[in-house]
Amino acid sequence: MNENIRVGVFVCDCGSNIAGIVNVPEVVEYTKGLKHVAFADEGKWSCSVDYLAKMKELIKENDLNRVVIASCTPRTHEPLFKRTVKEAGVNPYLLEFVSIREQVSWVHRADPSKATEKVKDLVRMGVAKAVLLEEGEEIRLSVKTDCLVIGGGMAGMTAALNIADQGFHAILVEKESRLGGLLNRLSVVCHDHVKLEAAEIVKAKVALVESHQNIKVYTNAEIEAVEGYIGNYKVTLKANGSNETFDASTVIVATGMQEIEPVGQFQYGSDPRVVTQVQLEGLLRGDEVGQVKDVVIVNCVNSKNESRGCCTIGCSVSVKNALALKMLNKDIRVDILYRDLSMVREEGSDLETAKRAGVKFIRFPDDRYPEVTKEDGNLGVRVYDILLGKEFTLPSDLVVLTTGFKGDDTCEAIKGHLKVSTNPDGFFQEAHIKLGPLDFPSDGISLCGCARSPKNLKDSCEEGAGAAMRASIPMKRGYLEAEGIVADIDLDVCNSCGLCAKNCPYGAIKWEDEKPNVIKALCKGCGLCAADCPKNAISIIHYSDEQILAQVDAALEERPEEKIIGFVCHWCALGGVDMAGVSRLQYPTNARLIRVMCSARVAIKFIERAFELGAAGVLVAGCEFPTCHYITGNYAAEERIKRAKKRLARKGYDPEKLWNVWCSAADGPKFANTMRDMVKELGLE
Amino acid sequence: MRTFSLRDLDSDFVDEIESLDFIGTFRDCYACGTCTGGCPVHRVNNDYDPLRIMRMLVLGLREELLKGEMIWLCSDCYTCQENCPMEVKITDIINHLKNLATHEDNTPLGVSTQKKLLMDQGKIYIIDEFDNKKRAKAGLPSLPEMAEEARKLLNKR
Amino acid sequence: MKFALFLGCNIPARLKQYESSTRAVLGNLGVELVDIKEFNCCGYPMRNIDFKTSILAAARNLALAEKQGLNMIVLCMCGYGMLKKADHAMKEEPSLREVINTTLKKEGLQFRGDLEIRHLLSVLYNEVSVEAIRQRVTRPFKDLKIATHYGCHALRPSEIVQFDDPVNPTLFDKLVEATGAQSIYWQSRLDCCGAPLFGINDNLSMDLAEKKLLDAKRSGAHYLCDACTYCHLQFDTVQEMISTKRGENHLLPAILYPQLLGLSMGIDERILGLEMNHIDISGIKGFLSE
Repeated sequence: MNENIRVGVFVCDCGSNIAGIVNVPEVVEYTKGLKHVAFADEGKWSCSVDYLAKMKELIKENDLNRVVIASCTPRTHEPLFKRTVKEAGVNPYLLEFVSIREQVSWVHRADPSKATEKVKDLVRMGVAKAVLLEEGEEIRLSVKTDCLVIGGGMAGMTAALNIADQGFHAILVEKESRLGGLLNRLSVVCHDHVKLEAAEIVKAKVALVESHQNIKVYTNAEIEAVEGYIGNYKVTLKANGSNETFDASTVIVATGMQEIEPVGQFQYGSDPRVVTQVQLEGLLRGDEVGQVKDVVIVNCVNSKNESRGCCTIGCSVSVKNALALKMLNKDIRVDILYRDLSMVREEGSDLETAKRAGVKFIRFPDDRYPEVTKEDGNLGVRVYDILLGKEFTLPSDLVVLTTGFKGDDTCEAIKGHLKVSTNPDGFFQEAHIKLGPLDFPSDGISLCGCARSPKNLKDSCEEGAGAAMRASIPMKRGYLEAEGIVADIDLDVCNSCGLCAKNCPYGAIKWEDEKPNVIKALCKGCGLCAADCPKNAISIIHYSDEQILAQVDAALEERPEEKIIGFVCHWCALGGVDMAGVSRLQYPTNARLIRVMCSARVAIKFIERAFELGAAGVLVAGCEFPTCHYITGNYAAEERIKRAKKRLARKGYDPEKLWNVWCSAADGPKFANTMRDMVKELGLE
Repeated sequence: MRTFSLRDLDSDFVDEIESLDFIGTFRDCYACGTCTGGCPVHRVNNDYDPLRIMRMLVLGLREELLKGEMIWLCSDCYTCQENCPMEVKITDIINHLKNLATHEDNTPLGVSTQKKLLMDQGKIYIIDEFDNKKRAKAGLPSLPEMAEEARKLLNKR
Repeated sequence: MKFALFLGCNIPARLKQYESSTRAVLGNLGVELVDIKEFNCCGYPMRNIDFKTSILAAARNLALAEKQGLNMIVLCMCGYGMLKKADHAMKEEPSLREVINTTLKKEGLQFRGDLEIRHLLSVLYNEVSVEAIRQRVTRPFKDLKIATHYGCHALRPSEIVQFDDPVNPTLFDKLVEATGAQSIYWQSRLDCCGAPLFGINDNLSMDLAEKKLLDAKRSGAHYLCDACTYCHLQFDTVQEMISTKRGENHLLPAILYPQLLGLSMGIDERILGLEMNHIDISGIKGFLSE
């Protein structure tokens, strides 16, 4: 170990937010007595411009090479202090953040002396870790300007055009013989009150795509393989019978969707007069509807049920096509059987038009779907009108089923090539519904249009443009920068078992020459691999085993029997802790929290160490299911906790003292309640 | 549960009602139930339900409406019409349905009696000599026995 | 201030106290009333049978008042609503007006559409003013809690009757408070009294009335105050019937607004016809200040 380690500790008053409860001068004095601490100071408002300037001076004057800041929460203020130490000439990875406002002064207001003791412990833990910190750096990966767009429907074509118009190159791959996707099978679309021929829209868009010098189009093409990662994809295509290989830097998935065929339901498949909406569109498009008199449309077939959600477009499709039939011949009777009508924006006026044109709407209950009957060859639909409490029979010579949708058949193969996931409805799963709606969790791959969820033409095109922008960001910049918190594998210790590569949620560990190789630009630093490595060959930079164990040891130096060691993930669990603080939810002082990026980082040996040292209990806190900032880290953590309990029991520790909580970043009460419950159950009151 | 064949229903009924003066369209009804939610009659007797009347109308259930009792339970308070977000003239429509029901011999006794009195007298109550004596006692001016001119006029129509 | 007084059919025969108290109160406030003996049924009872006949009946009354160049004051809410509806319909639809006028012409009458139709309450509030009323109140009520019953056809349909805010009306409450009484809030105050259903489904009609009366009573009212022929018949005559038929005690006696106002003005109770109400309301005098 470097003998010249000089740790500087800055304890913030936060006005009276901290100093009103915690005896800060006492903490500063205590800190000065810790090994390796060369300097400690109390800051009235540490985040103020004045104090930050002073802090930089103090770091330089005292020749500090490690900094511990004890103040609010890293979730809000870590970037600021990182920048400050960097400006003072200290590598930002040598900063350790200790949270004493959200975790102490705001939540232990009734007991200033215990609060002060807890702060001393937390600072001691911070110093213990700081001593072991190593310099780190942001990782850069160069990104060129070729974008693979999978799917030549409206979303994919829009994406390709937006890529190409920026001067980048788009490679547009379509499995069918021509571009256009689902729109090739539709008759008209409603768009801002205007009915447009689907064929005309496709024609115009295809003309733009095919004449663009920056777009290369492959039709009748299948993706054979995609290897690599952002900035460095190798794509193999099978197009028109032969294989072709090229490089790409980014990928946009726009594979669209398909109807769930209601085979065996509502006489579909057994009677040609029962069709789906897309099939009706085909009839309308080809002018093949014929002399129908009575059309009954049944909505919500195979959607909005226990297994899948609302398709979100069926209502407007049914109304649009009902109107198309009415325009064909106003004497055709059209009834729409529905459960709920969800028509927004311009669709609402379509609904009005349809009602005025004489389309009848009959609402049926969720638990009593209409039935298609057949008597002497005559079709009929029996429906229970929930608003009237009456059952009707509607003779019918055409029954149209508005069926739900699922992702395209090619989803499965592409999912494997790109190592991304789909949701239970068979659509591709975005990184986050609000924070990353057009991104996959892996950098460099975005998604749009009906590959993500059913949507209308307008929304598909908007998403196509959006996904193009997402893909363009690294292409425009020319590189990708990632945080230096990444996995580091000691190949001398590694026995090539392959577990890490298999489990990595990001596919960031590649197998090369019988050995794992971490693609640092892809690694997010969750630590799942390190926690499970049977040879302890993997370390996570900034969250190494030694650093975390040093924090455990420091926490339990005195009176371990009163203390609970809590491992909290940075994203949700720490968010919950902070929310408990902001809400001033009071809970007992026993917890000593150790931050990890993901609950998946918590190795069984950390838990064991705490119990070996006599801790009263251990808590592992991660994101609420089913979300996780590292895709599935909390699932891995949950599995590991089960194993840990067995191991603890074998070793003679009470497994009931190991707790877990999965809470959202907004769920302060859940964290506070967990602390109260733990203290009670563990008999620490 | 009775089963209706919707195709046998009077589809011209919707057009017939919509063509009446001051009615406008009611097809915009989206079955929100605000009418029923505010209806004071529905609150004490849920056999009466203005939304059901509107739905029956939209589907063209002429016989059901004009031969049934439901429309006559409307108390003409106009709460539904005042509240309707789609500005459907619900109470006015129900009054027109009552008019049509009388042609189907569906007229409650109280209503037909009032009609007869009005046609015979030009007003509902006759003011006889005895009434006028009482009125004089209360310092009120005397009034004619019946509205003779009005009676003639109403009968001419 | 001069109005043609429209009484309708019921008041001269069954509700003389409404007429006498109105005449007394308006006389005290300097409002002149003109009687037109040729008036007929307002048309309201005919709305169930034939829309156009009901308009014709109403139109004849309007034409009679117009002939004398007078605006009209109406005591009954249903009559008020009917006359307003006829006025509105004939103004909106020239063809209807034409048909009606062709019939009226046989009697030498014509609807021109230049008269105003006012309800008693709106005349008191808008033409007379609350302040002028307060000045005439010599014996204000004390500690008297009144539940005001607005009446459907004064409020709705609001775009036609234009009486007050249909959702949160205050006009009647202010008039009641001018007498010194307190107008309480009660939940079903804007609901139907049930009168139009009497003769069609008496039981349902009584259910509606009973529900309202219970609510007003539960909200702390001592009396219910109304200003409509049908509403008052419902809350007085029919309420008495409810108590006989259903064995309920008198829930809440109803007083007509001009009776209430007249008492506070010190007008003789015999002129106000207090004893003509079916349910005894003499107890209200106990709330008058000395």
